[in-house]
Amino acid sequence: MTPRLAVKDLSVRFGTDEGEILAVDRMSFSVEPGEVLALVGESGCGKSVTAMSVLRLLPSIASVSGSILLDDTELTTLSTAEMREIRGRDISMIFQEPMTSLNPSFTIGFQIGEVLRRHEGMSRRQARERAIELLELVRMPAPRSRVDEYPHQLSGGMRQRVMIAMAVACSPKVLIADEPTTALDVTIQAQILDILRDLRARVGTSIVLITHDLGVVADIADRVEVMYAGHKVESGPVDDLFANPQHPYTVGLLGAVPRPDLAGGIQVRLQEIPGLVPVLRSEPEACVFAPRCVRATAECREAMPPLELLQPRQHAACFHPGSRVADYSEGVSA
Amino acid sequence: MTTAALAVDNARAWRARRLFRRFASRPPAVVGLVGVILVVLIAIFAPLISPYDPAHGDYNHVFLAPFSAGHVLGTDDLGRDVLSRILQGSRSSLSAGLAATLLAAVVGVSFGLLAGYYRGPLDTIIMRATDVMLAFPFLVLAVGLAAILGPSLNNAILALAISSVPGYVRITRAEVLGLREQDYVQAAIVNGAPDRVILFRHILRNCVSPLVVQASITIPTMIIGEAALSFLGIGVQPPTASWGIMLSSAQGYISQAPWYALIPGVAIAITALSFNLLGDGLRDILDPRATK
Amino acid sequence: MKWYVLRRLGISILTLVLSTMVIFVAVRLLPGDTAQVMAGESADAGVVAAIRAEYGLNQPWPVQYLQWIGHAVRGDLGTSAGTGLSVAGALAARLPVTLELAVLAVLIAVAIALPLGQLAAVHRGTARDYLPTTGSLIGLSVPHFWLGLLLILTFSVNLGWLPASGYVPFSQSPVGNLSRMIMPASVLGIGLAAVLMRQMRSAMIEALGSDYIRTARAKGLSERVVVGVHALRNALTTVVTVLGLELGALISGVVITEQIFVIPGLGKMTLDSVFSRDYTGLQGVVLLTATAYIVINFLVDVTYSLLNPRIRVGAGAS
Repeated sequence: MTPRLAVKDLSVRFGTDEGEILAVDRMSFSVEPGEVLALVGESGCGKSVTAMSVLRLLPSIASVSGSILLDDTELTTLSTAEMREIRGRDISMIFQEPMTSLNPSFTIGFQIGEVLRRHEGMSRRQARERAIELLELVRMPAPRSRVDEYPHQLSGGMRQRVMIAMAVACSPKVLIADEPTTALDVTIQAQILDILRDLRARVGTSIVLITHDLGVVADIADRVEVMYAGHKVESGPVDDLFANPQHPYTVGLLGAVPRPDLAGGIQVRLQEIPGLVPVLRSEPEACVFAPRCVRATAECREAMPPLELLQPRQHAACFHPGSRVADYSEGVSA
Repeated sequence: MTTAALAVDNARAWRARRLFRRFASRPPAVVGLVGVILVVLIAIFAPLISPYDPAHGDYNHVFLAPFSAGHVLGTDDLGRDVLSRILQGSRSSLSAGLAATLLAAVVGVSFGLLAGYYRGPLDTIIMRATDVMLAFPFLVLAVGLAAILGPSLNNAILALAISSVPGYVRITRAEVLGLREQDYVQAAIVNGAPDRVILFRHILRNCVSPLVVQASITIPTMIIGEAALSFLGIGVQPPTASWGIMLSSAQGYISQAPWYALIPGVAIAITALSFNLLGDGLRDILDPRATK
Repeated sequence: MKWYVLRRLGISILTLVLSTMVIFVAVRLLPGDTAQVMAGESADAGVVAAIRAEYGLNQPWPVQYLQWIGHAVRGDLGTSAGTGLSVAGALAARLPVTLELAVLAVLIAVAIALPLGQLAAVHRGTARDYLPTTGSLIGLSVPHFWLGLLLILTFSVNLGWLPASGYVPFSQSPVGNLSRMIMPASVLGIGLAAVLMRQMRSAMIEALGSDYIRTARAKGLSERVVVGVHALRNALTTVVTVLGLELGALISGVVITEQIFVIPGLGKMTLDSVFSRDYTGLQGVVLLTATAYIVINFLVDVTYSLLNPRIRVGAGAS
């Protein structure tokens, strides 16, 4: 099967006052139709930048290289006008902050309808009717009266439903969800994930889920890509990766989490790994994780390890792979 | 000195250097600063650098054009040297601008601190009082004061100051309300620090940036305000020179000596623009909310 | 929403009442005896005393205040000492003149400031930002009255296109009216535009940096819609409040502009009544401006709360 979305060798650099920053370095991944792919990592690891570069919504200080294929269309070379046709119709996005991602000055019906009027050429009235249907689809209570309300009248969970309704209005091929449940409380999280699962089943939308919440990953994802400091450090099917993590960062992320089948309903948060995600200025000449890694040796400080097939379906970028649990209490080479 | 104190000192010096670098990297702000320094120097040394006595008239040489012999900017309707009067006028302008701003800041900040810190009925009274003050626009207020107290530079300064007090009250109060909830202020309150210490050491010090920005906006407004009042005859009184008075007499001879209406206006505009440029630069580097 | 409006209304009424007290006391503090002025300089003591009794000037202040307010709400603002005419009548005659001037000025200001502010915000950091921003800074630095003199110098003295001063009612001669109003309205409008443009620019920059703008772009909307609909609506709500706060500056500007262009409006009446010691007239015109300021700011606040649904809920802003 050809992938729906294929990203190859994506690099993103930001020119800032303090010099250049390499936010994403030669990242590749792909999503099949109807598949849920999770991009996992701590904040600052380049997940959101990757997502924004797919939609070409990064600010002008960013320079992006590499290839992004949606079916057979190369997105990086499209004109701005052509790209606007893709956004919201073929690829849409849900953001982390449901409180601020909706425009406070317009009703939610208007904001959902806007996508339909833009991409499906609907009239104002048709768009409104369809917006009500979409609100029903995302299980908004009393959609017919809610449609004329303003965002501030809704709770965080309801606003995120509106964001989802907006994102799926045109039955997109790919839905990018950037931390869609982080700002919500646990019961609402489960409902939102249910809605996403349901949409995938009905519409066949591929979902790129960006999160640092491994509970969410275990709950909904098919495959996982683990990112660290702009690099992919490990990837594989969710069951394999959770059962037998290879990269010490993944091992650290999973921490004491026993198995994904047990993690299903439980809220599993990132385990604390000492240290911070480094900011890269250029392509690394050592393993990016080495400063925080208990397994690090001289070899790790001389070259960034390449991504290798280690298990039947699992890749990792590490000279010392294995699933033994690292003990972070033993002191880290600072 | 302890190492901790040294570290604090270093941090302050570092912050100051950083602010200075950011300021220096903004050409308009530097131009403004240079302009302000020049105007201040001119005001201080006006009597020394004036070519003539600004009050001395010569009826044989009325309305000499600029660049005529001995009078670079010409002479006015009474034959007085315009350059000397412009130089002397800078004193009225600057003293009004600075004094009114200082007065407004002291009064406004005090009431703002009281309102924000003690809240309750005192806050309500102060805020309603500022509402009332705002209902009397600056010129109406100035006209009223001039009528009650008589026209003079001091009364003009008073009117200018009163009219900008509400701005200072509001800004200070808003800052205090925010700072009051900060952990270190709460800790000081819980620890029983006297109000005086909390207000001055913990709160006022952290209000400085927005207040400097506000002052930089008020000064040019005050300078223009002084000129306006003097123009209307309720500010500086003759024979003292003031840019506003010069414009007011120029209005009567506008077809006869149009250049005479230009010169004082240019002086006001350059002075106000220098302060405004400086103020914009300060806002850029001091106000975290200002979007660059 | 209802509570917010009621609260604002309460505050406005309180402010108005306090303002009338300030005006009342201030007028009593003015030098000169009103009764003496009314009777004329040379009138004998008996006549002055009679006038004092007739106008209730020998009553205690609180009684006089209540009488004044009582008359004022019925539209009776007393008789001008100088002209012997009704103050309310004079105000009614002058109000439309000033209103026309102010409305024209605001229109000019909005027409200049909003497009330029938006342009500067969208092209932040480029020449299309620096030019209007510098222009507004110059506009802030140039005094109204000097700008007025410059316009008179250029268009009346040198070019002879426009009359330098005076007023003709619009109903009498639309061309005559506008040709006399265009310069003073421009003077006021340019000053206001300088302030508004800066506000518009920063409000637009703030709006353009919001998460909802990112959402709008992710929907595939064109930049024209993103800026002109999503950002503009939010920026305008901010700018509307500024317009209300700038009203005081506008009134001050009106006073001096009417003086320069000899326009018989409320501003000129303010100055004339001071110079001719017509304190009844001064009292009336100041009362009218203060009331107008309070009422318009109340309306602006209510409009703002309608435009900006956020504050309808947590009505915290005072």
